[in-house]
Amino acid sequence: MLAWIVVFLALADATSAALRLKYVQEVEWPTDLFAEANLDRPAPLDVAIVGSSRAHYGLAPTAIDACLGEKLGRPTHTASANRLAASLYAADLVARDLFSGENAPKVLVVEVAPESLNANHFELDYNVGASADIREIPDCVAAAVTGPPTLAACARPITRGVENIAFLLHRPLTDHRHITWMALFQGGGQYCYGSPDCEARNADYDARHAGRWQTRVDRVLPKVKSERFRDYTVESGLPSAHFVALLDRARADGTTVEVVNLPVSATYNAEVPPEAYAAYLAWVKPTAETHGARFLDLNLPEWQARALYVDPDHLNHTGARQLSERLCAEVVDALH
Amino acid sequence: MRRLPEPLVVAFVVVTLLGATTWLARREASANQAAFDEAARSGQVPPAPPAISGATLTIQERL
Repeated sequence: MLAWIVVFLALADATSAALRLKYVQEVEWPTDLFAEANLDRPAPLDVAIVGSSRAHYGLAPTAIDACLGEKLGRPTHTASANRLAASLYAADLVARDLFSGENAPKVLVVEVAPESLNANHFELDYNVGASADIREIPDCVAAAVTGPPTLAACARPITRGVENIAFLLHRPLTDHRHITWMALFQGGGQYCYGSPDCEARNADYDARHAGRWQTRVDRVLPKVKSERFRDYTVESGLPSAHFVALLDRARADGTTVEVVNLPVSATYNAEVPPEAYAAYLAWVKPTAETHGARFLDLNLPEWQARALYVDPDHLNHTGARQLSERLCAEVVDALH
Repeated sequence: MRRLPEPLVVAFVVVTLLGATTWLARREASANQAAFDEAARSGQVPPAPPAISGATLTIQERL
């Protein structure tokens, strides 16, 4: 019986890998990474973006491309592939799987935040379960000896092939068409720009989520310190190791890396322990630069006004447009 | 003594499952590619499907 199970798991894993099913996910949000993973593009991407939901909201490929196109005098192509609650562990694996080697973009934008580099990241088990391959298991187990993730999370890649197949078979029953549309036709990202339909969708989305600011103030902000900055440690652990691996791989690919400290609202910033934030900045900027990347700090007062946010740490369509244009100005020189 | 499933039956189930998976995955990927290529060729993006409500409250807490 055990032999049959092993054979089945191996076959499922091989099938899943061959069909690029890894990113068929149980959460049909924020990005249809399955669509992105299977897309054959006619030319390398100009800009690829990896990160969490903050990058998904705050950096809009259509706005970036409109800005770059105007400055460069040619059309550009930007894609964004972000994961729920992603630490730099997950962002690295997405970048490796989707935006490296022959799929390397000219510019790779990497979202960073103090939470995303915490060795004790609050969703590290989920990150491992959702993004790791079997080859990640040894490092995962080594990390699990002293802290997050758990050993159970490290074992998840073994069954991931079967899980992905189950998610795919469930897919016809879910309404993910709009997520797929966003991945295919607006490069991923929550907001799109450049047409009346896009503008209407953006406004509609923000209107439907008008209550989200208060919801997160009530349910998330009270636990930011205790949950996201618990035993805060940067410089060690899986997220920081994978951050460095991401930088080195991109440099080997000849990709310009722009590490971006995305802004959050003043309300959210008030919950971030100053000593943790200082430790984070003291590590991430020199590390990025040592490994050949550029560092852009946008968590500045001019980006923290309430009017730019749909919730305390996610930009709305007004903030996303402005931030995207700011990023465009920063990376355009790497695309000439 | 319990008999293990016949290897042929097991193989049939596995092949059917993996075959259905392959068919579904390739169908979806092909449809996506065709739509993407058509939009690139024509310069016209198809109308967006209706958006669902977005992240559930539980997921919003994990952002």
